[in-house]
Amino acid sequence: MGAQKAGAAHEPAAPTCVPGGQIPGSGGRNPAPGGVSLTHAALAGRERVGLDSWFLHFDVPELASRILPGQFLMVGMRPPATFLKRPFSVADAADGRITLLLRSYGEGTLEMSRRRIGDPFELLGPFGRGFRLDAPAARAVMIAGGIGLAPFYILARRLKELPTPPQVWLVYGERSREAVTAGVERVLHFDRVLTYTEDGSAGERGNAVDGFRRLAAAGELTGARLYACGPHRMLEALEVERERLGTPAEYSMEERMGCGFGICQGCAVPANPAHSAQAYHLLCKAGPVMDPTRVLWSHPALP
Amino acid sequence: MSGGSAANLAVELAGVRFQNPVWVASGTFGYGDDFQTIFDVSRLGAVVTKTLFLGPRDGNPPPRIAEVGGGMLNSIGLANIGWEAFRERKAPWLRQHLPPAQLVVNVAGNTAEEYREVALRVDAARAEVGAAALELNISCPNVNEGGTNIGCDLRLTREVLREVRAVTSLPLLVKLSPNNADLVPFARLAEEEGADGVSLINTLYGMTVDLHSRRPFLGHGSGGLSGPSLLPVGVFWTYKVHQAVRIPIVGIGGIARAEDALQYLMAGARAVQVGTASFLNPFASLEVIDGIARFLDRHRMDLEELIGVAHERRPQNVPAAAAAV
Ligand SMILES: Cc1cc2nc3c(=O)[nH]c(=O)nc-3n(C[C@H](O)[C@H](O)[C@H](O)COP(=O)(O)O)c2cc1C
Ligand code: FES
Repeated sequence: MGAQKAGAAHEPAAPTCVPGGQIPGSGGRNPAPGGVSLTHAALAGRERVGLDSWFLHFDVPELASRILPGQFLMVGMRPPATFLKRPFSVADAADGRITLLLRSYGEGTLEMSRRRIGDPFELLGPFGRGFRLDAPAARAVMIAGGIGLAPFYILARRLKELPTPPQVWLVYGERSREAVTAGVERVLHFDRVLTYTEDGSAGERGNAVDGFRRLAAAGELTGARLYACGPHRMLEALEVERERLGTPAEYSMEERMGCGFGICQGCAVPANPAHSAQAYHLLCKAGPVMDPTRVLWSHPALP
Repeated sequence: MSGGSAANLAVELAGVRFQNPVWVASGTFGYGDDFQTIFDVSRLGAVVTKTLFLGPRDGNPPPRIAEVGGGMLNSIGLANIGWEAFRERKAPWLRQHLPPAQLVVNVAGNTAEEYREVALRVDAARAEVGAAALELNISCPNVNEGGTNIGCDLRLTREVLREVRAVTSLPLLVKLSPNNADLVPFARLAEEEGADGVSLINTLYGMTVDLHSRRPFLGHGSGGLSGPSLLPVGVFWTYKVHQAVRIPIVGIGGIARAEDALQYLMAGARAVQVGTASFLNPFASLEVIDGIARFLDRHRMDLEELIGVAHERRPQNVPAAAAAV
């Protein structure tokens, strides 16, 4: 999940809150297990990792300890630069630190990328259903399109912590070399990284779905479990190929979100009528990680 | 309630006693149970359900949400699980977690007959679900009248009110649409037809065009504007309607902080509803309750003394520092 559009931008203000502290009178109480909290956190670290992408780090031990791979947070800035908070997949959560992968595409995300160390943020969550860790396969193949790379750092980490960890392969597609997130190939949890760029300036020429085709043709998907995250069009194209092979899979999807926890009904994703009586799933609750067979991929309303 | 506050926030409205005047607005709190892991909903003045039709509705195609200057647009399209599913799957949780009679059931229909039918069923199940009142969402297209928005048509509004009033003795609130040149005739009509109060306002029509696709951004085309930009609109209509009718007003639109809610109360609302603000900060409604209590404590005032105070002739000059919440 990335982030999208913005409202009016404000100048960043000096930090006014305790890092990792919770909003007095609200999140001050400890959330119930599986509970949701609104955490005030100062930006603890900021690394530019590509032409328009950044890692943002927050030291929030309590929140970090509750994140499951594939879950997301609704993220806002103080003072707010966007009216609504934006959904972000948690890229990593370890040692008390949460990392988000930010790509600036609109005013709001651009403003977020400009915030400095110490600037106050609000992290609301964690929300959503993440990837399954109880469906082991000998090989985990992750298909990432652009910013869809985000949840695979934490997924790979958690898979490697299982008693019998799978091999973890990453197929990663980007526009060009400048956009490629720096250092992916050095992430220890990935046993193999296949990079594709649309212009061929890094890795192979093509996209992440081409990578899937190549692995399929080489018979390297036998016994594998697929995890995908990226733009809707990529997932739709991937699903055509995957369905033919029948590889078990989970896709992390993106949709506009008003709230992140089921109350606004804003995040509708068309449901596959063969598997569902209702026309839409609410992505924030049913997902963001979905069984691809539950989604109607060819719906005209989808981008 | 608010730690150590002496203020009594209880308020009587439409014959019901609510423990405080801060409710959460229809469509911005789901059916309450999504707050299970967030906070204790029994602290609220009331929970207003998402608008319930007789049967489930899928709602509009995505995208359903857009951020705009001063708030957001939504074109959810009244997606809801339907009254029967609500009664079976959601009401038991609410029953268990809300104090008795702090639930307001918001309903609508595609035709006046459907409004009557759903009202009849809520009435029959009032004890079972713990319904304190019925709120009618009249900002809905009438399918028999070429999709005319009922809440923008006095004749259709009257028709719906008569059908509903005839079948229920539940306290009845009519939720007015601001997409009219004047809301006063609608409020007067509600009073005439035996409604026990009006809630105002619903969302304002709006649209945003996507510069990339060069088409309306929302899947449905247009949507409803909510959030901070509605605050002065809602306060204005609260003030105007307060001058025109005797039935109580529930103020809605752009409330995110106690300061916003206090404006509505001073303009004449007996209760308020927090809407979109719960999306950005799920705890917003609790913060509004605490802020009102602090304000009353600091000024040693009763809630009743505050309600409608903006209509008094003699100006009250309070030092700026004391005006703060
Ligand atoms: C996403 C969304 C869904 C809504 N759904 C309903 C609804 O089902 N029924 C209704 O009467 N009002 C609905 N409303 C209107 C709100 O109850 C409220 O009147 C309006 O949003 C103005 O208040 P606010 O500015 O505090 O949000 C909805 C508003 C939003 C933002
Ligand atoms: S984002 Fe609000 S219901 Fe899913």
